[in-house]
Amino acid sequence: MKQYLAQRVGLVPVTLFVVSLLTFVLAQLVPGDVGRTILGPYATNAQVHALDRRLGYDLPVLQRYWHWATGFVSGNWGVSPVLQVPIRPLVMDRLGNSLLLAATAFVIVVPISVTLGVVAGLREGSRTDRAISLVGLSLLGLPEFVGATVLIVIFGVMLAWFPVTAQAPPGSGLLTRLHYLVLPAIPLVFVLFGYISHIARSGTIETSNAPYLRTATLKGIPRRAVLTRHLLPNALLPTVTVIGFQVGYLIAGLTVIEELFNYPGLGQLLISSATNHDLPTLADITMLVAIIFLVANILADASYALLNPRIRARRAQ
Amino acid sequence: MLAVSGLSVTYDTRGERRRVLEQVTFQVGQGDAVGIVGESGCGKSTLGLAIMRALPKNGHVDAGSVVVGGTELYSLPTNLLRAWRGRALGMVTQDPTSALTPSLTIGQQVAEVYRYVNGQSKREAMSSAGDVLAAVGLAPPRSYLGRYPHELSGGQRQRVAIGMAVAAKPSLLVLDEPTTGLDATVEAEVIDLVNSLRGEFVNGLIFITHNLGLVSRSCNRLEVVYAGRVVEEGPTGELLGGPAHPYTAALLACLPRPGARAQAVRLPYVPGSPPVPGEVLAGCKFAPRCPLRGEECTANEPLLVTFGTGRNVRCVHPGRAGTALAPPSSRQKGGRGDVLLELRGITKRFRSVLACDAVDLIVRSGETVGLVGESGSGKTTVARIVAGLTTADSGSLYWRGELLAPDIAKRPRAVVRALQLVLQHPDTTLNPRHRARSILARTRRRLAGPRRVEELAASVRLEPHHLDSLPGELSGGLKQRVAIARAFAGQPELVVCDEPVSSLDVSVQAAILNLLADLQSSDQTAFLFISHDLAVVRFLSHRVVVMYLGQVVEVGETDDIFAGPRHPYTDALISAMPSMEPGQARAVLGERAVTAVPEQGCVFQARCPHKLGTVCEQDPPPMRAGDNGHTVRCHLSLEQLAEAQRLYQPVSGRGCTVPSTSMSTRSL
Amino acid sequence: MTAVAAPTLFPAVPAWRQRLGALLRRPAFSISLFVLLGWVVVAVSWRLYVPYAPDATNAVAPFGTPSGAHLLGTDWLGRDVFSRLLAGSTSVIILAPAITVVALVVGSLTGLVTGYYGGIVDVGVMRVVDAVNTMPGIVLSVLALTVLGRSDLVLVLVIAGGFAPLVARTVRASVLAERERDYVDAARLRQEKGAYMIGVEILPNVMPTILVEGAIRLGYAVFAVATLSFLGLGPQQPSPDWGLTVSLGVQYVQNAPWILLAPSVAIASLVISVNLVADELRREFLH
Repeated sequence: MKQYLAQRVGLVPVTLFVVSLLTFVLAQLVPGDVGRTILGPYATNAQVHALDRRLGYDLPVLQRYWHWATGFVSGNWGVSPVLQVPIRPLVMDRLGNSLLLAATAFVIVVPISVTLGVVAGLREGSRTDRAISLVGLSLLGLPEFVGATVLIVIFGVMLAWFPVTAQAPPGSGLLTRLHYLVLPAIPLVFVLFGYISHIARSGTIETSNAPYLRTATLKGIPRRAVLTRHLLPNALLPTVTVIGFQVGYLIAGLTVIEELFNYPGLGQLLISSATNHDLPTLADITMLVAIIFLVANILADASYALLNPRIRARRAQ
Repeated sequence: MLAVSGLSVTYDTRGERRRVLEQVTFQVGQGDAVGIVGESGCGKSTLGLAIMRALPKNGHVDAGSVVVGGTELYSLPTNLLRAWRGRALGMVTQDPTSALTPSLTIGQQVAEVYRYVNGQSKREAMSSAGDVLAAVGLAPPRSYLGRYPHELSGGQRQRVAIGMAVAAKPSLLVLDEPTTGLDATVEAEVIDLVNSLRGEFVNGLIFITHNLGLVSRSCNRLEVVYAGRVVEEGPTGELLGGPAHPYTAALLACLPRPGARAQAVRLPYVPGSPPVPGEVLAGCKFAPRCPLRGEECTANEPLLVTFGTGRNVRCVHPGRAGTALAPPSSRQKGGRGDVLLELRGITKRFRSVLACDAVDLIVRSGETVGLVGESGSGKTTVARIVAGLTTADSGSLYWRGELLAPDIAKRPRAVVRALQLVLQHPDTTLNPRHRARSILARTRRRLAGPRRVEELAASVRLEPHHLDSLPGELSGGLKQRVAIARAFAGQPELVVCDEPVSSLDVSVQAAILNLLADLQSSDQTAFLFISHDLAVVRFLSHRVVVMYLGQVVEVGETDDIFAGPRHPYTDALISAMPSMEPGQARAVLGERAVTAVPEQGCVFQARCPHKLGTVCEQDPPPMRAGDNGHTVRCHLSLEQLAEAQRLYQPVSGRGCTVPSTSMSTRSL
Repeated sequence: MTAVAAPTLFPAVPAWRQRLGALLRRPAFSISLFVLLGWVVVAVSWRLYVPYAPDATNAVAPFGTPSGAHLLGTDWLGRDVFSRLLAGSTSVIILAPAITVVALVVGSLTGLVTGYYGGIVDVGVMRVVDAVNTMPGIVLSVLALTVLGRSDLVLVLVIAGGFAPLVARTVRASVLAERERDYVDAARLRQEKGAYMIGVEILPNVMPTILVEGAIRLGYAVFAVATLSFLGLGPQQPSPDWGLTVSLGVQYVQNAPWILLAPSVAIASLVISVNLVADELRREFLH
């Protein structure tokens, strides 16, 4: 187990190196001159050249990669040429906002979808199951902005229960902030509900049909004990992993929601730096996202292995 | 104690209702052990589940009742059912690998029974669990309580499952094919264990199996089931000694008997295959396959009628079964010729497992060499290396004295044609998207076969209309015939058969064995026949090679091996053969928990009943040569081995015994 | 082993036609298929019956509420929302299948070849697949569309490039399972070559997997196209594209919610019907 984790963690630098190369190469492919893109068509050639030199774009490619990569590792992410602010505090601040939104969505979605998924699985083929599966499947494919606009029209405009922006006025209490976050979080909940309830349902069905569940039932122990001791621990194993893997999806979902609600999160910064050709910021965000994604996947894998005695043993060998 | 009466069960599959059990009635008395015997698809597992009131969701009991100790099972309210069933009934299911919850330790799972059913405290329950583990032969129990199921071998897991089923001391224990998937030597131990638990832990026993040899050792009454109906019932000894229903008679006659040799005789067999559940047939369900079939058989379904004391049979010709099967015709003896194939020092390692360890082997033209061993012995690897599907790490293959390329892609077409393989699984051996005709046509084209597809099909007794079927529309036996036809497309000189009949029912198996023997006598084909079933190997083979953990431990003429002296492992395999002969069954070996090959010394040292001491642990055993090319890899000399086998006489089996004379005469 | 074959029910594999019939009898499938095909018809034929030209502005009637003349009202430039709704189907109906086909062809070929041959090719390709999967698709798409410029071709290639590794992985797993079956060894026993093995022996058996994967990917493709065009990375103004219309209409949500509600509901109907069709196909053909 330890060896397996060590192996996974050991691969992280390799993967990150590949990602950094990919990011850097893509960022190099930008058509036209960086300084010109930033300063616009009216700047003089001398001004453009000076900016290029200040940003280091006149240096050889390898040197620039080295400069950027070592800067990223040492925490010296430089200054955004477009926004004229240090990149790292900006990105970290936005990351905090995104995490708050993501956490709200998770707190709502995990208990609901796991419960309903298990209920549907236990009553496979019943009306309840068909209703839950149909709703889950429909919500799964609903792009966040579609769910969000419908919700805004109904709950924000027609009923006016929730504010249509995501960010509470400065200085509001936690409760107010959360109130502002509900509407943006729900479209994320929709999509996640589809995924998580589906996996919880199929895990439950698979375990219900496992011969060992029949053994447990025929032993004569109460149904509750069969469920809590024999079914759930095995049925929900895949769900744990899937929840971990949703981090990758969340980044996309957050981007759309933040853009729609004009919420100052990481996703919104991603889009704005793309539209403004703010390549240093874009590259740093990409790297940060890749790290978060890798860590989340390793945690998901590790939790699966920790909860499963078979894997625990096999990987220890 | 248990009374099943008029039980009818239907399954609902994709909106179709299929009747799988029809009016089943039988009793299990105090101290009885009743065997329920039948082939796959006859409804015997459904019967087991119905007795437990544990049918799958799509199964319905249409009529009948199950009464256990005065309580009707199906009229109990669900809330009372669980606890009551836990005390009254125990069940052991087929597959020991998936019958235990993977996330709980053995101790937790066994202790549950005592906690929830017997109401013991947590600590009491755990110590009771230890006691029952000891009773099922897992000693010391302390070392098993904390382990997870995946840390145990198949046989150990089945012991745990049995321990759990009897923990609450139920009045009736139902065993559904409890030894399926276990090696023969382990199977014998599990059967002995079940027999030893009777009386102390359980009063009555129901043993569901397809294996007549197993029930004869542990059951005093038998129910023979065909197409969802009891076709014959009665005391084991009388029923097996003189079957009254043609189906029972056929099942017994199909088994290869000691003394019967493929070179001399054909096996009687049952044509066709059992009806599919739900298939509507007028009259007797066995009539289409029955040699006694007459008009009176297809008019009305026969009733179960009394035949002698305590025996019933569902046949309009009760008791004429003995004459039912035409005496098998004899077969011409073929000659054995030059060396066709030779393996020298073949060694193959899969990661840490040594599958083949310096294997030497010879096959002559026109002969059948039986290769036997338990799972993990490396016999399938040998087959694949010979066929060129797997390449050995070292060692070489010779074909008619010339070096043979290890990889099939590099072998000359002429050799590929001459050396073919029949693969193990009938269900996947044919591409499910290709029709039988196109499979045979393609093979014929690639191997430049001389015979037309229709002739090829006829040579394996396939009907012309089978050629236009997809594999999904063919039964297991028919699929295996197509596979055999494919192997014979290029008129091979040697065909390697990897367990070709192991997943077929006995009535179908006999027909395939006959077919192989016929092909051998007509085409002079040699066979390397791989099997775990010694009875089949004895029937077919001129010579036998025994493998254990990748090593050849014994080679010899079939008669010499069965006569002895023989390797202690071969001896154990022969002792564990399911047999209807009296007093043959015994378990002699300690179970092998892992397939780790010992670092040094003899591969069999850990389980050998005649182990000498350090010499067996440290030195590789020598090859002892006897007559007729008989060799045994053992530290004991042949004389010592003969002595050991004489002293180690088989103990008498606990089950009933069958008059051996009637068995052997009828088989010939 | 003394394994006993499972009871066989003939015929084991119902014919395709039989299965299609069974599918069409299920309301979830038939209704979804109807909606899906309906949008396809609209996407190719809207020019024949739109009440107004989708780009025709009307300066005097912006933000018109739904009425007899304008079924779904008008937008901020006075354009007919209903006409734009019909016209807006074209981009997604063309782009999503194009993405699916590219991803399916590239992914299936990769999966078939790596799965069948295994070895170094397999390890190498799968490392690249894993690396691509490490980057969340959205970041990759934004980065690529920013750098390479916004065009339909880039959009298709970027999304398909993100999907192909997932298809490859699914197909490869299926090929690995098939390769273990005896019929593959049986074909080797008559010295069949790689192309025959992959094309004639294995492909027909992984076809259901590929088709179902295609249906599932189609749903994700609609999702991705809509999302990227909502983010301004797809078709540009004055295209009537649904995602784009929603993103531009957000600012008028208080006064004229129909502007963004109409395309939102259209996307939802399309995406849900694709997903339901895919799920029914999966249940029918893979279980």
